[in-house]
Amino acid sequence: MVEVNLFDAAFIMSLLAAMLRLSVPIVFTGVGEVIAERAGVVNIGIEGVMLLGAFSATYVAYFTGDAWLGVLVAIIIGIISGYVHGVIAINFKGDQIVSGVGMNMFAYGFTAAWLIVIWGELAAGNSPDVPRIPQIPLPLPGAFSSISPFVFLMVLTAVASYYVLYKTKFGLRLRSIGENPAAADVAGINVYRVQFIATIIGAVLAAVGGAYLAVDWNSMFVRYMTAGRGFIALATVVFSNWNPLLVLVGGLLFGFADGLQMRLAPALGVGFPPQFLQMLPYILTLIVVTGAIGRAKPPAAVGRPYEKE
Amino acid sequence: MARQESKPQPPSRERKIDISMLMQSLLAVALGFVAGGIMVAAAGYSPVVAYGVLLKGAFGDVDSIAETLAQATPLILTGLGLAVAFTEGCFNIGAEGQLFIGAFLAFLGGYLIAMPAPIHIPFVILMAIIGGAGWAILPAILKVKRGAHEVVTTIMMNWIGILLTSYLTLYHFLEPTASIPETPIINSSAVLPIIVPRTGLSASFLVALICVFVVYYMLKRMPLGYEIRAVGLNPTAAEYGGIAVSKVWVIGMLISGALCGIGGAGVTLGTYRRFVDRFSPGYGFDGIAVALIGRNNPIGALLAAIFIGGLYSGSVYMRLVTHMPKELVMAIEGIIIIFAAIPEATRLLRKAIEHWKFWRAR
Repeated sequence: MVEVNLFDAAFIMSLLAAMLRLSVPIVFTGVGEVIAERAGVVNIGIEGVMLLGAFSATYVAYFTGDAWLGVLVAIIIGIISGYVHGVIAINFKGDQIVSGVGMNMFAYGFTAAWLIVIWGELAAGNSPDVPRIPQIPLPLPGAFSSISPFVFLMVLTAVASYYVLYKTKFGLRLRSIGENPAAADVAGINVYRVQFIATIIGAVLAAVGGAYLAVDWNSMFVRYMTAGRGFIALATVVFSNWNPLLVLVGGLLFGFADGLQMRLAPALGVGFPPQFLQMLPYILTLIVVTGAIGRAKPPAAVGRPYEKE
Repeated sequence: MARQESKPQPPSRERKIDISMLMQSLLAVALGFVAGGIMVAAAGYSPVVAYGVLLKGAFGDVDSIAETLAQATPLILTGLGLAVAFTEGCFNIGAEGQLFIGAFLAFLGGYLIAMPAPIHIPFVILMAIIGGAGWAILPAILKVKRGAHEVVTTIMMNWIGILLTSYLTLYHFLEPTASIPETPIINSSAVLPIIVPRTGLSASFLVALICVFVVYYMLKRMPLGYEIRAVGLNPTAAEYGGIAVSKVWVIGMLISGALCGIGGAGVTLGTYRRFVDRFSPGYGFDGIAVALIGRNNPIGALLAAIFIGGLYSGSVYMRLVTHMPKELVMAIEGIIIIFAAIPEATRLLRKAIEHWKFWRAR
């Protein structure tokens, strides 16, 4: 049994640092999904988009040695995935949930297979080490001596998204489409175009969240490495009542639960079943979506294809 | 989805729609294989060889057909369960968790209790039904009482169910001599016997077939089935029509969970005769593909499950022969589902063919 003092300053610092690090992929993905759903398009394929983003970022970082270039390519992959979902959901009026399920399954299969195609049978579990995003040094001791630039970008993304959604004309138009597309159409808004933009922004942010997992948090691609984070992001969307700032709060909450879970396991020793600790974030998600905070109210027209009269 | 048109018309019309839905599924499968072929070629393999080996591995001889049906068995049951849920408009992604709990309760009933086989087998299957339905009850209640979306809650229940059975196996029922985490073997009176020697095909396949016909009868001929379909088509109209929407919704979700639970029992009682930690390669998630390709029709789900089961058993053989990663098959499955999401695919294809004919005639 490892001696861990829960009120030790170093322990609290490392827990807070872990909370920030673990919340990044969830906040990016969750904020993106809020934007898409505010425009009426649900994309449960964001788990798969994250995985594709993580894989493409690793691939590019491996062959070019530049992690930022990897993130850039992940953004392009995000644009393509968002475009595909947009064509199905907006142009073809297909079932958005089905399309998302297909995207997830494709991404799981594709990335696991391509891991072997590129790095051979021996790499069945993960890619070789790739360069990481350079961390920003801070004049603080211990766990805060350096920090990922994505932590700042995460806060910036959440605040900027809130500003755009609630304080700009474009945001007002976008939200009006999610509530009543027919009325928005009559008011002269190009419904399909705004929905397309929102869907693509959503997928791009999910791909960035995935890229962060591979080339910042880790320095490699691990098979199935998103491990349900896309779905936890979907839960934070509900928790946030479709508000980007509350996605930030929800993401930090899950980061905290996840970080605590990882740190408590050695503290409690081998006698304590780790399975119960691993359940923590999922149980927390259940409690959160149950509406411990109050009943969530989704955009009225979310998930339904809009048919022009 | 084209579900909207399928209900209110007289039977003859309904059959016609069923056929057009069958065409849609076949088209999605065909397009998935074409796109998959491009992907296979990009990976540096010959698509023709790959698909040939895949087909041979899935349906080449009696043993491979039996293996395909064995792989299809849990998929038939999860696919059926999800078809019921999707029919009532409930997106149950929790099949995996319901499958694990059903499989574990079947193990408990088969291991802790001994009784004559003719009553023992129904008893353990009943336990699996209770397990699967029990694992679906919380998301169902959270949905109708609190409006919590079932996609999120059922996925969380999956992780909790997998971790819970893992804990129970490792800490309470571990077989000490085994090299992988698994429980001891169940009593022989609870075993579903193998029906094709030297393969994995057990009597659980027959249990799955019985479930197909029961669910078909329930959905198409029983008042409950009518109510489930009505709720799926338009809950508001169903409510005005005097249907207790919330009650029907919960019952449908419980039936869905129960069928997934039976799927887990089939694996425990037939395939392994014990509970193996994290045994499922994704039967619950592939059940989604089965239900969607089968267009939420029980017979369609049976055929789709045999198709996906063939992909499973064929991909193992394909990997042996060509060294192609078997996960490529999962990617192809994903593409098929993406195409299945496009309701107008057949219409677009017809238009494309007309265009092609027009330009060729010039």
